[in-house]
Amino acid sequence: MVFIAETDDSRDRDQVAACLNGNLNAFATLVDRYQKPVFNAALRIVGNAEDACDVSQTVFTKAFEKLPSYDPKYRFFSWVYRMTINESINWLKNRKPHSDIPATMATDDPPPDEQYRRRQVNDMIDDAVGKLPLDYRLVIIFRHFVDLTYRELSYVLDIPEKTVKSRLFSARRLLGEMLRKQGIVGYD
Amino acid sequence: MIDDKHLQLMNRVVEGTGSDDDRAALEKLLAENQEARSCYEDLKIAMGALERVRPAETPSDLKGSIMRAVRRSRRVQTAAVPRWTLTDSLRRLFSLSHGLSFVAGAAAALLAFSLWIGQPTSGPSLDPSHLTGTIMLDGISEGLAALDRDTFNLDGVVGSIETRVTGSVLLIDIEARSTAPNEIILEFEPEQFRYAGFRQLGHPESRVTARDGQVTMNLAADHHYTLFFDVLVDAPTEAVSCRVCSEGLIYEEQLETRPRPEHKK
Repeated sequence: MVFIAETDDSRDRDQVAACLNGNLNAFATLVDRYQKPVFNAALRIVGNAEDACDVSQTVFTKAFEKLPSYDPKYRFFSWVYRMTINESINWLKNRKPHSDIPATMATDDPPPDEQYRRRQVNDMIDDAVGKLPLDYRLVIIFRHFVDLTYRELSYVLDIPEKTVKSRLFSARRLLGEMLRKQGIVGYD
Repeated sequence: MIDDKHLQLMNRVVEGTGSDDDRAALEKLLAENQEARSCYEDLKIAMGALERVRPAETPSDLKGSIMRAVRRSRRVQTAAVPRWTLTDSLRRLFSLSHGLSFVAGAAAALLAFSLWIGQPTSGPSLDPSHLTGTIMLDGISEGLAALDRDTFNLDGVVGSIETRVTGSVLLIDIEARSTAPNEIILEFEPEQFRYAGFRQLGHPESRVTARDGQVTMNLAADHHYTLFFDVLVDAPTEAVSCRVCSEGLIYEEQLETRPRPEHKK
């Protein structure tokens, strides 16, 4: 699953430079480009859409404030994802009781049977991902839902590439085990 | 027993990056090792599940709420940055205490001069209640829908800004009264809006310049404008921002450029 079809680093760098020159529209373009992966990552870390919106807002506001200290040798989106993780973890630490309503379930319309069955399975998968230990969840989210490479994961998670690989292996294995125990073994 | 080599091998194959040799090695491993077989089954289940998950759609106003928060933050940052003034600079310079007493007399004279030129210009008292904002336009006033109106009253500049729409034309009314020259900058998305011109009431020394994505009004003092924009897309986003500057940024806001729900009646 790829959120960012084509990441153009030089385009990001140009937008950052324009922001630093006071062009707010350039920052709006960066928000446009990265709001979806940031929101999705936050959603899967904090567990509900409303809080994921708050986290996304905080991430972009802090990114804007810290833009003068941004080091262009790193890719802009890696830098933003790192903030997403930090903000999401901060949010989890200060978590208040909340009813978890996945963004995909925010509807009152009774769905057709097939759609309903698929949605149930998807919810079980989401639920299983949400139950993984945080370290495992993060590698799964950024590898599978944000489509980062091992190298990018290494930077974003601040762990060696070798650890990324072994952690991803363990996370997938545990996830598969959880799903198997719930009877989810096929997806057609 | 699964070692690191097996782990790497299984990772490569489940991710689809393994070679033919990898696949052959994995088959051999699975045939010989029960733990590896069970592990690989779980990996395949996980991979199949993860491929099936679709990204959640972002809430429609997420970008708007992010940009509003960013603008608030920018305003606070701007307010926190001390403005450069000649008097401050001179004070800093003399606080270095070079110990050259023979320049003290000249310094005092220069400081006095700079303090004198730093005094605010006296001007008319500004009363925001006198603002009208809207320029009534002959012929099309009846079809206009009001979208947004905001006022500012900071650093000797009072004003109002108002957006209205009729069909595919967006009108932005700007009125400002000031004791000093000021500048108003509108930035917009050129893919969504095209600047089409202006109508002016008031001060004839004001000047409007337009280039891609930006219209700037350099104002001698008081002014009152309506700017016209062609709306190029069906549902423009909140994509026009307004900055008012007078010796620095004093006001910034994103303007509503499409009808709010209560205006859709």
